[in-house]
Amino acid sequence: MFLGTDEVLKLAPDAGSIKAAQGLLLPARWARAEYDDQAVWGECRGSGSTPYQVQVDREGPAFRCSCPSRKFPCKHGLALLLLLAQQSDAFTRAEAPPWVSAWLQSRRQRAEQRENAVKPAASAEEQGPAAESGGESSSGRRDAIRQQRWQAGLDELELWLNDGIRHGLARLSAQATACDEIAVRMVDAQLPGLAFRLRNLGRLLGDGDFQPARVLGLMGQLRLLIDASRRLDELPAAVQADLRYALGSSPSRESVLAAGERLADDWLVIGQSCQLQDRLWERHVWLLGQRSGRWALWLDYAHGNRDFAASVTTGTCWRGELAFYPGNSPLRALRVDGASDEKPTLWSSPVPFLDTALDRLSTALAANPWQFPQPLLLGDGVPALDTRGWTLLCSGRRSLRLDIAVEAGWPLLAESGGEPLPLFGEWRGESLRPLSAWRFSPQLCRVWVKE
Amino acid sequence: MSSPLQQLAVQALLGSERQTLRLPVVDGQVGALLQQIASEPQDAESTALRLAGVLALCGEVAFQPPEAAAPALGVCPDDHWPAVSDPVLCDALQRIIDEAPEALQRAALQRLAAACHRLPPRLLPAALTLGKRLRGVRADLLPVLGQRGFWLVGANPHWQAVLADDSATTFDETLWHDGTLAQRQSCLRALRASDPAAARQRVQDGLREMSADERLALLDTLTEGLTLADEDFLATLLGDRSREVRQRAAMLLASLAQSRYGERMSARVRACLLRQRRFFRQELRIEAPESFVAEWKNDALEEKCPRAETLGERAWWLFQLVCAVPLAWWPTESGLTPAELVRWANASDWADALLRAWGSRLSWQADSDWAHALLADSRACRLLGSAPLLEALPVVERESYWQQSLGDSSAGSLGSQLTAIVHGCTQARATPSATLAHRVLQAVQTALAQKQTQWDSALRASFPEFVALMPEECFRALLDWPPEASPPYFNDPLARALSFVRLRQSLARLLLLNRPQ
Repeated sequence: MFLGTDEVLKLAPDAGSIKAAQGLLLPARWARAEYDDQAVWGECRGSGSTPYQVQVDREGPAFRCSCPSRKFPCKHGLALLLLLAQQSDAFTRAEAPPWVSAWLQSRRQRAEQRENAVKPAASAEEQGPAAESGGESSSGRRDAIRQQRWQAGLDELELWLNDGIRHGLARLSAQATACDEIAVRMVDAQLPGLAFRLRNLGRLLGDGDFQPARVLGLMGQLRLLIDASRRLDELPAAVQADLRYALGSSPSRESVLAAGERLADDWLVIGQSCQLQDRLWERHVWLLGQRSGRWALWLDYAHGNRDFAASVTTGTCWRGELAFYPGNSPLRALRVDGASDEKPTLWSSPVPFLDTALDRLSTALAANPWQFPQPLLLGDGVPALDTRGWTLLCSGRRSLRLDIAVEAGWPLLAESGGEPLPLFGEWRGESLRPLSAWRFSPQLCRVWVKE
Repeated sequence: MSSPLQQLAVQALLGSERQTLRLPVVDGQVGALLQQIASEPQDAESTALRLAGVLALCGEVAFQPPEAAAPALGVCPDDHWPAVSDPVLCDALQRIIDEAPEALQRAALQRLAAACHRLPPRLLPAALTLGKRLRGVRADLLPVLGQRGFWLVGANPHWQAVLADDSATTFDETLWHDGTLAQRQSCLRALRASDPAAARQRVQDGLREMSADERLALLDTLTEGLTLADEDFLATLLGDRSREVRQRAAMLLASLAQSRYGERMSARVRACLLRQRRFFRQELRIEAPESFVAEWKNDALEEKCPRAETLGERAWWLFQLVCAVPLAWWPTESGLTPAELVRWANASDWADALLRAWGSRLSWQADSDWAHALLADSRACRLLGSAPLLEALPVVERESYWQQSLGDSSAGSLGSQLTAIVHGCTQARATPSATLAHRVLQAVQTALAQKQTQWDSALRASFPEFVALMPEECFRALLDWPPEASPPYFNDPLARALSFVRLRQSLARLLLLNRPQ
């Protein structure tokens, strides 16, 4: 996949790095600029006497540089990729020098080690509960404390909700900040999932277009969550897992890799979105299994800057295995390391039309109503602008509201040319937030990506 | 008909302490579930919340999209030219549309059209917004919009201006009456080309209803094809209400040497000239008028100096008189060449008034002899600035001046010189020669080695713009700059310049490859 200038720039930790990197685009600055199938590397003359050795592992991409900068990736790494994107003829194909091959080798080794570390854990699981008994007492105590906090938090929220109904929604709407206060209390009670819903409620209350039915609906859903949490132990294991996740706790990465459902497929990165919550960036990477048709959501977090451990480009596809988190309709997944080198095959089945897509959405929501947002891929929509903003006109003269700024929607219309444009996005209950648009024939081609 | 959830929500607005909630009744399995929930022993608030929760979840699961309100747009007709699809090229075009100088944008669009390609659809909105903002790129934008572009304009009237061609080729009655000022001007220009008298008559007839701005703008269009036939009409405008219109009419009349106005003015200037015999040769002297003659007022001359005027009162009168005489009058009258006249003016007591008046006349009537003469004179350059004088020359002739002055600190900072070069080339839609480009690169490199260059902000702004214009054979010279040639403060401008080089290289390379058979 071609990594364009835009995509490289998205990897930058901040605007300063972009500027600094663009200053390094003089070929004269580069004593060496080479590549092979696995990596790109170069030597960049800086202020020091010896040039900096910059290298980028194409898998990831991952960066390494001998400069002292604490930014990641540093300007040299960015400049190397920019140079490759803008002036590939400055590069020569070569055999990797020792400083590159050693690094690549250590990276591959570490990846293997990680994988091996997971496997023994998995085999331990199979031997039965006895293997786990060592840490049981301490984790049991932790669970008990958490249960207590949860109960206290749930009681408090129940009281707050009931008060809201007793005093009336009209009065509640006058004090939208009250939602933030109770949300903070829920974070204290280790229920961040409920806090997230309460902040959404606060936004609805503060909205100029106050819709009592949506407010009441959200409050009712919170109440159902409270009810379900109180009888958590009576529920089937998969529902328990969904519920725990909705409350804001999820199983450890290790346990998912060890015991989660595994699925090997060719995974297409069909879209990604990024949002800031309490100084924490949360990235949704949506994957679509090209053979199984399964959706997967890979969540990723970064503090402060948006520098996620690995960079992902929408439109790339790789053959490999995912481990799904447990649940009634498993969606969230982890990538199992050690992708194979085999070339993935790309999408060939037809893109679903509105009816099929909504049926699938209903099935997923019925299985786990607490998952938000849901992935939605539609093949029969034509963008159209009305007085309230952009919509997607689908077959049968029905329309879906699009959650996109008026200015940002024009390229979508331009790409469609009045004909259906396959569109992927996050379904947010009432509207679709577009993340990417595609041409599926004659070959898969990404035509638009949300900035 | 409101949904059960809505019915419940409306009641909940007031609160259950003031109003007992009536629970909604629903059929089917959902109804049975609701009844079951309601029948459990609990407080009214819990019941309402649980029912609302169930209804909301069911609503989300069974979501049905509403009927479309907006009618669908028609399907866009097919295009003859392929849209650019190469990702590198799309990337380059996007960056050119977003951030390149106008000249590079025009060049890129022309290149695209020459290679028989149209813009990729997703760049069309940005390109149309650019065309709306910059009139100069419209002509080059139209060929590469394709059907898709025109179709898109139909969907967004905001972009209509891009298609509205301001350069009418024939006179259009409705446009003349209802069009914008620019459209009326182009209408009139078209008419002026085919029937000068009719055009003049149009202005004359509409004069009463026009604002001063309109009179001024339409008067300007009469500059083309000005003849003695226009004299009578222009003479009436000498009594116009607006001072600007009076002066513009005077300027136009002054271009007609044989007009009565022109003759009056040259007679007045002639009265200021004295020939004295000194030793064996005649000497020409000039003396500003002693007093302001009342009837001069009728010829749009001003008695009082404007407040910011640096000339004295008599010099101001002389200046206005000289402004109203064509440049060509001077050599005939004195027998001297423009260069000799400039020297002569310098030696007189009224040098500032004379040089400034000639400079102002030059901006009306481009004359390369006079431009060269004034440019060679340091006083004239100081008074008038070399940039406006250069504009009276064709670009080819300007280049030698630019080359001479590059690196000469007395001609202004390198940044201001380069700004003038970029401006000149952009206005004239000309490419600087390779010789000039090499000289500029050298001058910039020399300047960068000096400390004080860091204060030259104009250089940082104009250097990338110049690189965007310079001929391709000079790219190598820039790319081969040693890294130590650029001090840290010049990193950004250099990066911008280099990005333009790369964009142009990508364009050249890719469009050559992609030419359809």
